[in-house]
Amino acid sequence: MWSGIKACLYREIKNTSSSPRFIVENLMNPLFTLFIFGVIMSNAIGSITSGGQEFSYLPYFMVGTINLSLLTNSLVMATRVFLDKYIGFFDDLLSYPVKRVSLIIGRLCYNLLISLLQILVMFVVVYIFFPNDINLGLPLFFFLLVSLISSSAWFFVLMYISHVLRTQDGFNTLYFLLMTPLVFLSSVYYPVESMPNVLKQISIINPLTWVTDVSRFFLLDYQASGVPFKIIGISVFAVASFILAVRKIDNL
Amino acid sequence: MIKFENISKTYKTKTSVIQALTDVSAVIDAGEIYGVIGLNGAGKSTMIKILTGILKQDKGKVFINGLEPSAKEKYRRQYCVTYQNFGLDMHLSVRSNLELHGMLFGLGKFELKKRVNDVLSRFDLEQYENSRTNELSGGYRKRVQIARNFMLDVPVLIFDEPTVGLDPIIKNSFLSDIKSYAKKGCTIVITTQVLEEAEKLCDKIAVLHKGKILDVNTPQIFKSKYSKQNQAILYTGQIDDALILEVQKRLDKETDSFTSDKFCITITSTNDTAYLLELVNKISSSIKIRINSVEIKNSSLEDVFVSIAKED
Repeated sequence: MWSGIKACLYREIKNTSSSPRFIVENLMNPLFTLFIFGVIMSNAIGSITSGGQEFSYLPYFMVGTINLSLLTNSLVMATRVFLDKYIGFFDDLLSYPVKRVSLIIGRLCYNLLISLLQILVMFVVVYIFFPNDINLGLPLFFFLLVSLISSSAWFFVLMYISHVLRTQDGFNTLYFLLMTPLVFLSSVYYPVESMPNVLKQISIINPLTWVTDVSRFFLLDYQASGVPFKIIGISVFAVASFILAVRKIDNL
Repeated sequence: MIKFENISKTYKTKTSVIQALTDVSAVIDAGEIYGVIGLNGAGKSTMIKILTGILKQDKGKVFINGLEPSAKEKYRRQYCVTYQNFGLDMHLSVRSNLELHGMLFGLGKFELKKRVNDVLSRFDLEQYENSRTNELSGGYRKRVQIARNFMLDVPVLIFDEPTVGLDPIIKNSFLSDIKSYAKKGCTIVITTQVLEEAEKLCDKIAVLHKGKILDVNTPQIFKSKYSKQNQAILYTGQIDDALILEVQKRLDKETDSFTSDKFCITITSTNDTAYLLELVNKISSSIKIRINSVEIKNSSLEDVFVSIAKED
């Protein structure tokens, strides 16, 4: 098991270290989003009211951006499976005498590493400007825990899809069909309460809303409704997607 | 030992059903070099992918040393494979690709370094060890891909059309490496369209055509079994009527025929080469025209393959 994980981590880290593109893609991009969109909206709105509480928009938006980045990272990893399939490396990987689950876990470890780096960069930048709005200590630890679990859940579900689909074309179609509702029918950019009733009902069952609400609960003291249920929902989502992904790669 | 038992495989597309393999059976002994020859679309790569367990057959069973692909890691530890596509990470350097390969086989740090250095030197890749794989030419990528297989001590080495794009020097060194691995007891399965290569290398050759194994034999038996025509080419200063008449007189009309041009006469016979030599001797001793040289041509494996495929 360990040799598979180690080899996959080695591959990803070597790939990353040989490409300066990585810094732009993984670290600068979320920061750009945070600054350009967050600062403009922050100036335009100033603060946002949700659940009867008032928040500075930038820290509020930062939590949304972090959760969006976690989803995007997993998307990038899933896309790379198609590249491997295209160049024939995927067949090679499946032919090695390692547990196939280790191929997924190795990539997950790398994915979590990148996610933690992104969180750290965004957190430090926002904390400098809004030190009183953000919780440290145990809430920060729980926030990180939730982020890692949700990142894993996205990763597993997208790995499952990338193993099911033969070509990237199908994946791209799915991406365009699902990404817009997934992101805009969630609490990433604005509170769910501000949505029309029908859309609000949809956004409540969106896992991206759950993770964003729970993250804000720990980091910003946001009093979201049904936090324990949302935590259970995220955990079930993560376990179910893990089982799906592992079963799929094992049966390839 | 490798065993294919009545393997069948069908690919279904939206518009058609392709029968890739039909009841393929084969037994490959330890230390044997087993060649699978066939035209494009014959089912060679499907056979290899079923052997490595990454493609599931619809029917039949496959074994390597008594294990089935369902034994997962234990099964996959029996072999090392080079697929037809460049199974390399194009963004990694040559060295990193080799290291990754060794790591996935669980090699320790010291052993890994030793073996990577060894194949880098054996395959003349030292100068490119830090180059990214996507910067290399097709031939060098193939070289890296093949070098990986020789890094490890596994009971079975599998190559799917390995020599495509290799230069003659590396190709020869690869072929001699294969022979020396087989001598050590390693079983080799190799698919190719280059019949000359299969003829030189393989202990046994299977002719795969439209998903069926038409015949399995040694290259020599193949040639004697299917060889239908041998040729004698007589090169002379000039061809005149006397020579042509003499040739016509000596030929057995049942088995022989001939063609001529300005400087040579080609006699084709279904009899063996000894018969042809005797015939040429008789012709040359009975006429005054000087024969500069005589070339006797056996039918090649290529002719044999064409003949088997035609029969089918």
